[in-house]
Amino acid sequence: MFAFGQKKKDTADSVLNDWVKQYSRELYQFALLRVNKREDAEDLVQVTFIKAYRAYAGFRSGSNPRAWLYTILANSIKDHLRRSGMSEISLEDESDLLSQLPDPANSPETALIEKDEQERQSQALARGIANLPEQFAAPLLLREVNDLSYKEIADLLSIPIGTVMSRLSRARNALFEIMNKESSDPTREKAGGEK
Amino acid sequence: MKNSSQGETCRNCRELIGAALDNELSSGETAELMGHLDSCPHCREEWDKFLAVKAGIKNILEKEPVPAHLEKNLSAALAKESGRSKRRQSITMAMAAILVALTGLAFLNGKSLTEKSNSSKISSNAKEQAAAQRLAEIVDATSHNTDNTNCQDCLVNFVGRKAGDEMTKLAGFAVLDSKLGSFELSGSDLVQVKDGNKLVRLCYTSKTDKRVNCIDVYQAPSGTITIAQATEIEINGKKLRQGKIGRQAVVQYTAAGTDLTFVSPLSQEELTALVKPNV
Ligand SMILES: [Zn+2]
Ligand SMILES: [Zn+2]
Repeated sequence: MFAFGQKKKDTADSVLNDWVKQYSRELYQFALLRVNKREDAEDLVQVTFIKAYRAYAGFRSGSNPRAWLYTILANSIKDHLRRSGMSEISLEDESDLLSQLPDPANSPETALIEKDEQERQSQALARGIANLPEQFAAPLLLREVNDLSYKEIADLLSIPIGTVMSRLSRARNALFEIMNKESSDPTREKAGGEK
Repeated sequence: MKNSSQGETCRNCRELIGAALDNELSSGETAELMGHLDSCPHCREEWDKFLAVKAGIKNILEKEPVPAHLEKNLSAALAKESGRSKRRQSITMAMAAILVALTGLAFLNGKSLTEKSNSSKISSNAKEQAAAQRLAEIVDATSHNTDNTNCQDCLVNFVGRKAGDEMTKLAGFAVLDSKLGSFELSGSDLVQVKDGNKLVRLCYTSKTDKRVNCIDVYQAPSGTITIAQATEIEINGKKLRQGKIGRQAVVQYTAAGTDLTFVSPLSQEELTALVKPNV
């Protein structure tokens, strides 16, 4: 049990609320790209802040709160994926974030084939990210979503900078393949002429 | 790079492309890389690939805006947690008002259900206090917000927003949905106690009522959760038990072999009015 003194707890209240303002948005986006469901992403961010609040007494002032929050979130996501069996999701799975996005075919503004193309690539990419193994997803999202430097990512994940670079490179190559595979359907390429 | 063979230059460049796109190179290094890209379509292709992935991720994030209510909900959750931890010291005593009899624990004070007595009176019965202590741990540990940190003999699994059939499958007993006016389900916990008993906690939150953070609905097979010093009223021919837990109102009824126990900082009357349509 975390036994805060009254003074310490008031500090935790204000510090945690500051952290909500500073970091909740990027933590949400990180979670969303991993679990592909808005409600789950929100719940995971909430779990993260409550855990941080409860464990605040053990947080060393001067250390990096963002890294600490990320670590709590990453563990919560791992638990979540394990519990929901989502780590076994295949690329064909439809119950994801992008399937909830408006269907471009039903939108009057998206008649352009280019837009349609982008939409399908987006969906493929989102599924790809959600399905990336943790060790590749973490550096990628810390870079793209949380905007951390290579050094910060290396420190946070306790891996050398060279490993950060090679994992980023492999993740991006894999994701490009996934995006490209989806968009190379020849029947789709001629779809624009029908309208 | 000028003095290297073309193949080696390309290899070096490939390694730097990601770093350049991630703003990890000095301006000199970047300029050198750009010079090579202008003259080498293969490396240019690699650059475009990485750029497409970066742009794609950015595009997804732009299409999926962060919900406007995110910060507000988080602050509310923290405020609730703050209140809970402030109450933690006194909660054990307050919990004496509600008794959960689990396997291995004595069924306590059987006649108290019908007994109208002073709810602030706390029994000195040692057994009862031990049970209340145990109860405090279990209920205190069933926050929908977090995994268990306090309960030594139980395991709390946050399972998202589940109720009804989904939760019934997890719990192994009938878990019922509740209609509570403008309150809606925000989180569910499955609490597993070492002796095998399970308890479900559903948290309902209101968008409109600023006074109250949530109404928690504990569910367990009939007879598992007992309110001590409860008063009984009858609604639609069914018995509704009312009590207090600290400053919170407690209302309980039994349906489909399940005890539903509502705990809320609302007044007794308000809580009962919200629970009524379910009975
Ligand atoms: Zn080259
Ligand atoms: Zn609640």
